[in-house]
Amino acid sequence: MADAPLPTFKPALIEKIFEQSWGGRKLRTASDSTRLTAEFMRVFVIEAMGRAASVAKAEGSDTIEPHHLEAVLPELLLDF
Amino acid sequence: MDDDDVSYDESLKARIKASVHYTVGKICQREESEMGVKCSKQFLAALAELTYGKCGSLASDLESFAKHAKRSTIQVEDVKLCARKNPSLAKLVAEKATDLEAETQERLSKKRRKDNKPADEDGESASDAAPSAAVASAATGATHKSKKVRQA
Repeated sequence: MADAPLPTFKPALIEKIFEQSWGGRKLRTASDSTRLTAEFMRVFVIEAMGRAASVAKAEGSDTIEPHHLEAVLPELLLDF
Repeated sequence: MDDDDVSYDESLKARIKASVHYTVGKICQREESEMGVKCSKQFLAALAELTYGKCGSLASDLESFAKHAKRSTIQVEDVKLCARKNPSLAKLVAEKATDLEAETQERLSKKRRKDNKPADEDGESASDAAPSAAVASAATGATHKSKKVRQA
């Protein structure tokens, strides 16, 4: 299981989001920095899910619903 | 013409969001069994939207950091700065950065070896490289010295 590569964001996708946010201003990205950002976003997703999961479990629910994410959102955004 | 541009932008945005949604789904699917929970579709959609928004704010942060450093290229250091407020996250990001750099170096050296092979044998090229590096460093040393002499 550990052998399979972890699912993560493609560097090209990260770059597209960056370009869209920069709106035509000329900036380049080193290839390592897009891959590092991908890892950053992967950790962000897993952390969000983990925190929401613990709220869901505390409620006695097996399924994570949007309001569980809502409950952890402020602290999550402070930590990232 | 303008309408076309706008609709193109919109469709690109939709495609990017779809792609983010897909990747978030993949990541969560993998974690589901480990955490012993299931993700509802609405949760995944909300998380995808949140992730997309976070990535956009990351982009503007990176732009500011690079500009502040008078660069026009986003470097690994800029990404590390984004994680500075959370020590454990900063540590994680720094470790990953070291891994990535090692990976890149390995790939580069492999490529170089591949490029050199058809021309001559590995051992020879290595012995060729070493003296030239030594010469180069000696040369820079010499220029430094000459500068010092001139300054003196």
